Amino acid sequence: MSETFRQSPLGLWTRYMRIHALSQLQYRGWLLAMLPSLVYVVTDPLDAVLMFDRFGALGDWTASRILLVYGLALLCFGLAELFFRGIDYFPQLVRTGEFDRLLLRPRALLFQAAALRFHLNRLNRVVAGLLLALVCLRAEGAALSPANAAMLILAVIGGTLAYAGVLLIAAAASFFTVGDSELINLFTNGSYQVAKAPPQLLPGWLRRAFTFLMPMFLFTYYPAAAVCGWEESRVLGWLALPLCAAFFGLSALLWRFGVRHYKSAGS
Amino acid sequence: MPQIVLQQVCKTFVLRKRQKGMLGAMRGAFTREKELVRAVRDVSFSVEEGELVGYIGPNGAGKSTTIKMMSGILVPDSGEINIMGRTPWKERAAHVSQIGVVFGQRSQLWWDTPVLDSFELLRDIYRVPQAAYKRRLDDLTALLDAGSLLNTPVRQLSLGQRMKCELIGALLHAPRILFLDEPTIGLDAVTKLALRAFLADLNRREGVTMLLTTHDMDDIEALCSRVMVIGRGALLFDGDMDGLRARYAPHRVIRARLARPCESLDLPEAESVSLDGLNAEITFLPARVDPARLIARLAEACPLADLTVEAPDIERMVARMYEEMAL
Amino acid sequence: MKTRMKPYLAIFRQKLLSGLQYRAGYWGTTTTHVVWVYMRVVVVAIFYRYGSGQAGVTLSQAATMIWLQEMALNLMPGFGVDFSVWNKISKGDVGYDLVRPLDVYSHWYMSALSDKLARFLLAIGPVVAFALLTPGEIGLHLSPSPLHLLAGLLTLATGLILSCAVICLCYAAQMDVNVGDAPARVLMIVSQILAGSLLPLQLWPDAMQAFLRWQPFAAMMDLPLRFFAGSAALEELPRVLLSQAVWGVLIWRLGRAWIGRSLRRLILQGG
Repeated sequence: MSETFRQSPLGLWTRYMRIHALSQLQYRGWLLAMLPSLVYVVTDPLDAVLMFDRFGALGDWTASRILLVYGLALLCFGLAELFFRGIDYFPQLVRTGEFDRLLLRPRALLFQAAALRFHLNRLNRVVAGLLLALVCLRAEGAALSPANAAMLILAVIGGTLAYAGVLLIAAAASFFTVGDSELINLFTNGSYQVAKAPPQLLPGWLRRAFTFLMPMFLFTYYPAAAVCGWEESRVLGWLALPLCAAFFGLSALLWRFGVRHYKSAGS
Repeated sequence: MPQIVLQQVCKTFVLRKRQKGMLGAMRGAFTREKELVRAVRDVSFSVEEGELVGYIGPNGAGKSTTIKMMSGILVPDSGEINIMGRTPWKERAAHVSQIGVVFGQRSQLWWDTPVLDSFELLRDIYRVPQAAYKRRLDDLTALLDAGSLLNTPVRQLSLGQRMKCELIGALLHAPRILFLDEPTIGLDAVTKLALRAFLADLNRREGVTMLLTTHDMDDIEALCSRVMVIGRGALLFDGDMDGLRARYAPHRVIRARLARPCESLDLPEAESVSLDGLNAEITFLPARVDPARLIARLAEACPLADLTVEAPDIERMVARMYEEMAL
Repeated sequence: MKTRMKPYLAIFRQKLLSGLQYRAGYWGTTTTHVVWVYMRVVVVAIFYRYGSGQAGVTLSQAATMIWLQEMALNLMPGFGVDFSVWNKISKGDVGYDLVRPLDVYSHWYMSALSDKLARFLLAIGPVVAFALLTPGEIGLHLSPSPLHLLAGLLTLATGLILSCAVICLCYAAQMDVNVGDAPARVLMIVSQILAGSLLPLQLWPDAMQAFLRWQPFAAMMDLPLRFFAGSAALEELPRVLLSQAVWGVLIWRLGRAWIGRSLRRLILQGG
């Protein structure tokens, strides 16, 4: 590895991940330790499957349609957790004063926070989400033209940023409150619970909350609809990345504000 | 211009109080009383490059808060801090790449992997070129005799071994200033001596400015040419060790063993005289009385078998000083 | 007897106190759970309204059970684990418990019991309030009769005895398997799902109903909640109690023997 690469953010991130992975591999039974999260990830969509089994399709909506939306959300969340996992630990970090350590290092705080933690078992969500999405795309008979593939990839990048933004907002909140609030779970794990029903049939406010407030349907439903031809505007499918990036930018601003508050209020 | 300048720095914290008992807890679910704590008030001082300064005070006096403000972790409510021409919290990244910080009670090393992995990560975080890193690491490990520790996971190190590694980690990027927050806490006597020798040597050879907080007065005596005392947020003393003694423990004590019993001792120059059989204890102020004359007067009054002159124990002096502050 | 109960009352009190003390955490957690369960109910309701199949329970019964689950989950293994014991076992730090003048199994069992009870009590108020405020079929509905309510309360209480035995079984698995806590965690996840946390068991496929009813975990939550919602007849009561008693004794004995064996080995090896 060249020295310039090693000292670049990407090189440093790789190094961080390496040290995290190494410390987990030091423990015997690390493979087995991934099992509980795997069981959890695999059983989570079971209720949607069981409901379709009992009640049949909801109009146009079949199990594969729902699971495609769900799988995309899961994949994005998994990726966000993979790359930005450390942010999730923020409340803890602020309470124990470990955050001070980050402030003492001459690197961007957001970068340091993201690289702070890494868990091998987060791969479960990524792999499960990816497999589920691919199987369902096939079942829906989606035409994977280059344009469609590009749209999906951009949407997944957008979704990853959006979930990272949610984690950032939670981190920002932890600078102001003591106990770690679980509210944020509604927008992470909760968001793909909502994805277990067709957005059109959800109560209006719930659909709007997960389209405009936390843009989950924006990076799952609309790109999927465009790719599979579910009579939605293709433009909306392309909008996922720019809008999610904007969401991430806003969260980053909030986070900076939180950091400033932390530095002026103390722990 | 001095390397470190603090001017009338103030910092206040808001504490939320918890109420006791079941009823209090229930009330606490809705409202909570606030309390303002003035952690640091109007602290001003400056430190020249290469100084070795001890910063002492009782727990909760504001030591850590001052260090956090100087390292850019906290922003003061008012006042100015200028370190190497920069305001720490405004140019955080540039500032922290020039300083090193060691917290005795916290680790900056990655727990489960060999020490060397942590060092290499720090090398890249601080953008230290490989050649410089190699030289620096060899130097530091040789000085601290830590070469054999590098391939051990941090969690298997003893506290003393870990502290050596913490120091190396904090110095890899050759900082110009080193802040040490209770670096010797919990260490055994041998390790303490080794660390002190290392710090003194580093200060002499590289001119690294050091500011250390400690509860161990031996650290201060062995290392620091200058002491600052902080109590309840205010700077109470700034000077050398002798000055501190003159201010807080100006007395000396003569303990004498008399050759034969003596009816009474009349020494008007002394502050107090007590006589118990053959043992005499005379307290005096060297600033007012010439010790040689006092001893001569004593010997005149009564033949002596043995005699010592003692300065008060520094630990006890500080304990008394802290007690006074609490009043 | 009174003095023997004292430590557990203290644990119970401590849990209640710390639950109340973390104000931000308390309201945040409660709001999250209420919104979360609302979203679950909404999704289920969509299937009832727009799907074509039939279910053995009505929507209002299913909704009631899902709302009540949000409280009853506090009584289940794994939902807010009592980390004081869990962490102790993870670090192999059980030495302290061995020197206390208490039987280890009873100690862990009772602290699990007080922990679960305290969590449950803290969750009741807000969840019931919101559930009753939710309009229409997807809200919380009152039990069809006072007797159903009583049967529900009784079996939930006796279910807790079973649930704590399962928790201790998890502790046992965690202690014995020296590859970490993975098997214990899997046991917790599986027991929750089979207790109906994912979906009330009556909405699972008809072909599975007999199995679902008799497996041990249903008796911890799903079966008691059926009485509350009126989706089980009162005649079922003896059968539920029987299932709880049989499984409770079995799992209790299994956990006790397992922990005892691990402890003996621990003492022999010198920790």
